[in-house]
Amino acid sequence: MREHLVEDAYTCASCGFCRFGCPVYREIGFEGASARGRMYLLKRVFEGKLGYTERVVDSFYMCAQCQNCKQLCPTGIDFGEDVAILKEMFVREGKLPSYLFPLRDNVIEKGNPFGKDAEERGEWLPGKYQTPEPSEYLYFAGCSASYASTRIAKSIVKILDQIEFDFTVLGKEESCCGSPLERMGEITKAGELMEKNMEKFKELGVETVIVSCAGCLKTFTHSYPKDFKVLHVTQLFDQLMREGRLEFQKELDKKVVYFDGCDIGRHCGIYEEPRNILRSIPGVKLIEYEYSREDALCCGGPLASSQPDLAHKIASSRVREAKELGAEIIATACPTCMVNLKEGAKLIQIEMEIQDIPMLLPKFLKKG
Amino acid sequence: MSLYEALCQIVGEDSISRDELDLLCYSHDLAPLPQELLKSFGMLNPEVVVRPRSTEEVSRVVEYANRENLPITPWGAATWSLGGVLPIEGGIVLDLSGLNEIYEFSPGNEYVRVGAGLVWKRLMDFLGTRGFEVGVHPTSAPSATVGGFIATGGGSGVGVTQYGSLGDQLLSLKVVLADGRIIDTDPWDSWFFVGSEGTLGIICEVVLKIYPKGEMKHLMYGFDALDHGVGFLQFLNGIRPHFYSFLDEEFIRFLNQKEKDLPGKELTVAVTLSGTPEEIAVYEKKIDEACQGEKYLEPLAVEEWEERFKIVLSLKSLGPTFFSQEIRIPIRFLGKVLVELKELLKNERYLIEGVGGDFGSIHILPLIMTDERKKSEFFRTFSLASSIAEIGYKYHGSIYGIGLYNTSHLPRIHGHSLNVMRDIKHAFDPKRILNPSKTTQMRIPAFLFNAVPRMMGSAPGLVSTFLKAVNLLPGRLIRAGLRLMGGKLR
Repeated sequence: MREHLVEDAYTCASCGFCRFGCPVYREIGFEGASARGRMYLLKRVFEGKLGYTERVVDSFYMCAQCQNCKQLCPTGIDFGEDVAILKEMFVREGKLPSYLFPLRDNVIEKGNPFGKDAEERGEWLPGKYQTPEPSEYLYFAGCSASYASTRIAKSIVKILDQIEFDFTVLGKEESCCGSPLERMGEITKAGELMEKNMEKFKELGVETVIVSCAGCLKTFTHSYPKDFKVLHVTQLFDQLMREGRLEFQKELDKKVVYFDGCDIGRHCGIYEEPRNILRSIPGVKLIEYEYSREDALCCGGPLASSQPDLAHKIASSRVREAKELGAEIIATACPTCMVNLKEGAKLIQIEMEIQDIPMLLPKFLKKG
Repeated sequence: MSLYEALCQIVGEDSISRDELDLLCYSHDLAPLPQELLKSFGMLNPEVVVRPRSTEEVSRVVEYANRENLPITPWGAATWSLGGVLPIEGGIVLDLSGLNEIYEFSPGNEYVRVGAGLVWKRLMDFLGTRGFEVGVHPTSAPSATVGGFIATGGGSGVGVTQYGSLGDQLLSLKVVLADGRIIDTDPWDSWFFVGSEGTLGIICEVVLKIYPKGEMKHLMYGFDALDHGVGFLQFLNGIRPHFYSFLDEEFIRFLNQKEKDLPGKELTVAVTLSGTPEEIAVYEKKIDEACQGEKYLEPLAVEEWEERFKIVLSLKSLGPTFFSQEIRIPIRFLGKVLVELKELLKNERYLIEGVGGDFGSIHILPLIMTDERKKSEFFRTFSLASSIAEIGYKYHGSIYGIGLYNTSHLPRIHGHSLNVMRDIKHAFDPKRILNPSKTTQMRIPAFLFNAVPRMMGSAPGLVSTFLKAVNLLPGRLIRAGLRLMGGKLR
């Protein structure tokens, strides 16, 4: 692992191409906030001129790991991956920044980042889903949609119910997928949560896990054993639309811009399905960000729990860009992006409707 | 009032950093020079980095620095490797990347007015979606700034062979002078600042000529005989296509190590034509007729064009360190220069790239692969920089760019006119605050850049002990010593 970091530190050409798409650098503007800057710090560490001081550790925790820089790097360095290796090392050496302790403890002790009780997790569920039943399909709501943005989860259940899609939900038996722990480098602890969830999936004979959170999607596809299929809800809906089981009729006469979240986009390669869904709503005029798909700029969401001010500032830039395009709605496929973009809009007092795709859909659904 | 407080009053807290990690990051550029060597030249971190958001802020910062006799080092994106952005005398680093707005887009009058800190890629993307393009852009476009390319000469880039150098594209510049005055230049005065490397004034705003987007065609040819390739390149220079470049056999060999499958020819030449479809057809026919080599299929040429920003850098991991000295020579000597370069570098891992330049020149970039961690190997390759330069001088060419590391070549480049250059510098910047120790001042004694690396190659132990000893001296003492030596050398 260390060899890999050393190799990258010396391979870095210092060309600074990475700065173009770095959400943190774009906001802060100083060299130390860019991937190139941090690569240089790393090199100085390996030369023995700099230690992993608190400032240096903090600096790496300021990377959103959005991996836009990987797209731009001529030498093929995956800086986000390097940061993951470093964070794991920092945790092993007891260097996790203290501002991440509450988040870590909440996830480990309560199974969610908000520190809420597990009992409350299933509260939003309609009666018939209160107890998990054996099923081929399982909707894994994730922490955000279970506690904070419950409208996302409710919309999904409502839509699937309406077309009589057979599935189950874990409700209060669901635990965090492990993503927040993995992001901070607590790999062992994240693994424990993963095992807990896997056990439940096996008990119920689940073959396909449906997720609405892009963070869950990334974790399930990248870090869980490949024992089951994972579908983002936009993939499922797109599939159901093609099968003719899902149709939209009511008009939405608005300019909508789809926001490519990093976890669903760059990290999982899903770009078209969310767009297909939006296009299929009559009247929607789908527009594109100047930098979209692989080149999309991150909203700063991954930093929302550790550096909220910075994360909101970054998000406000994405909202401003959408406004300049003439967008009336920003549609996301990730609750983290949605919440963070809303904060961003609030920060600069721009009126903008920001909705996660499932939330947009129920009222346009063609009643069978 | 402290320096920090004073600057805070001008630009605000968010636009200023004295964070130790930031300061460290502003103390290097692309060149992989070992820190101990740089430090023995007096290199220090800046005291503070300021990132102004407007020309007025730049003006007030410079005015303050002038009053207080503080060195100011302007910073674009640090994508050069000659040490031009190193704050060798400490003081203020002025990061101009905050001047990144597109103030005016005038398709009717075919110009844009932009902040000097705007990144080329951003400008090109912006124009591209509106049916326009720039005449000239650098191959570091994804990170280089508009002002940075002007300040470093703008003579070797894409489009130069068709439109002339970047200086020819400038309609006006807004420049902050050393005393803080803001001036607007006309196209002729602009030339003062082209290639001035931030030593005469600080370019803040640029009015740049733009062109309606034309068609482009990309061609690629391979030559088994060096003579045929060179002759072909000389032919290209005569007809002035949009862009042409060559890669030598070694370059292809390295590329093929990196997931490519190109024919291993002695010279591989890429050409890009721009114009109307009719013009392009006529020129392509002419070029095909002049070619005594093999014409490659179009997708290969298109790929080469699309990767033009990344292709050289992509080989970095094979080094992992590159070392180079860019020379610009009249194209009629290309054959001789290539033969001599190959002879000089025959025991090295090297590759050679060339790009058509302005005024009938060709820029040759020999890249020597080394490893900065292996000190004696690194210094041996480092000392080749002056030998490469010698080949350039021998054939009526020169090195391209001075920055810090090439200041030891100043007498060689300017001869008697060096004093005139210094008088010009003095007229613009009597207090010597703008990017001091660069371009016209020989702060680095030549022996440090010629003899030391050579000795380092043969007796690394001795030299590294010396450098370690120098490094133990306080920075202030080193600076004073260098000032003394520099003064004598003047």
